[in-house]
Amino acid sequence: MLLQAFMIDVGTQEVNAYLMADEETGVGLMVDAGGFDPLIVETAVELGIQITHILLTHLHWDHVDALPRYLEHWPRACVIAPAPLESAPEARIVREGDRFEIGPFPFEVLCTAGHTPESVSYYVPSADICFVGDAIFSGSVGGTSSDAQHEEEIHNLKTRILSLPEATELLPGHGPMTTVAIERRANPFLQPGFGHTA
Amino acid sequence: MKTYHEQTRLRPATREEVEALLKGNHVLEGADLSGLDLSGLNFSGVRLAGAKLSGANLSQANFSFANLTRARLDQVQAVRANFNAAQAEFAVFGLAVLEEADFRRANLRRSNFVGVRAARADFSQSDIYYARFANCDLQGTHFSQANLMRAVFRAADLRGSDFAGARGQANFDRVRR
Repeated sequence: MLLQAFMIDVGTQEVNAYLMADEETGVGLMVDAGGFDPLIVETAVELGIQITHILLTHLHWDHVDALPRYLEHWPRACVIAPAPLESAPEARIVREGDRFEIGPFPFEVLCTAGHTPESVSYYVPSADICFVGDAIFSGSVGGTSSDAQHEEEIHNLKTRILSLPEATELLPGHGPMTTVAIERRANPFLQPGFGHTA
Repeated sequence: MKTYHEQTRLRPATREEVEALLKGNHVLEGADLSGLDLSGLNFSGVRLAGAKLSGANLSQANFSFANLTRARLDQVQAVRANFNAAQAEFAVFGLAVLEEADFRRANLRRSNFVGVRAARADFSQSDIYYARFANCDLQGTHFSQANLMRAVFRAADLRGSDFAGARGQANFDRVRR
């Protein structure tokens, strides 16, 4: 398995995008498309990766705005998204419990709503990884607009993400990667009474 | 900017095997050294990019000038370990014990220090751009002249820590000073 992370400057912050591919067949996918980085396309070409799918974790601008530019390079890529979006009217819409395969990799969709109502995470059990978008970060959680959304997010994190095997690597939409073990034991927002994101 | 996550190649089972690999100047990129007792060993300058050292005993081990880019060092015991001038961008140190560890001049950009116990560790002149320190013990640590741009310190115990001459805008959220 080949997995590469790209940190793309989108103004005031960096956003992560991921390339994942099967080294034997060259079948690959991209996760999130917030900013266009030609290096991603160059890397796919250099490594002989055929991007057959682009997965979106949620529809905030910093995760989808560059989708049209990537589709120019990969016009036959299937977009998988948790809600309809104008830039990909033929996107396959997924929800909690959906399963699909990309090459040899089985994916399971997990509902991690809270940061946005449609937020999902994509779990790949055979690789012990989970693309979590902006639901959870190293030592933090996605920002929310209300107490109710925060509670919903925490509930979904505890029941969908932190219930995964401890060794599972969590690949977030911003910042360093982390693991279930680290966040379960030390993420301050998952401790009682810590409150919301600042 | 990119990183790699590749399947491990080497998987030495014992400390002696690791010592033999070090003597033979083997490249340890992507190696799985998790859980081993590597205390006191000399990894200075060794290429360990993408290596997995999760849960290993690294107390007083020497990783000065080593390449630990993307390495997994979560839950290691690394009291007084030497990471001076190491390249450790994207490294994961979450839940590690790093008391009195030496990270001076290390490249720790985008690294994960969530839940670490790192009292009296020295991060002087290190680059911790976009690094994450959350729910961790950083009492008596040194960050003098470090690059703090976009680093986050959240629920961290920073009593007695030194940030003299540090530069860049970091986020300090609910820290203890």
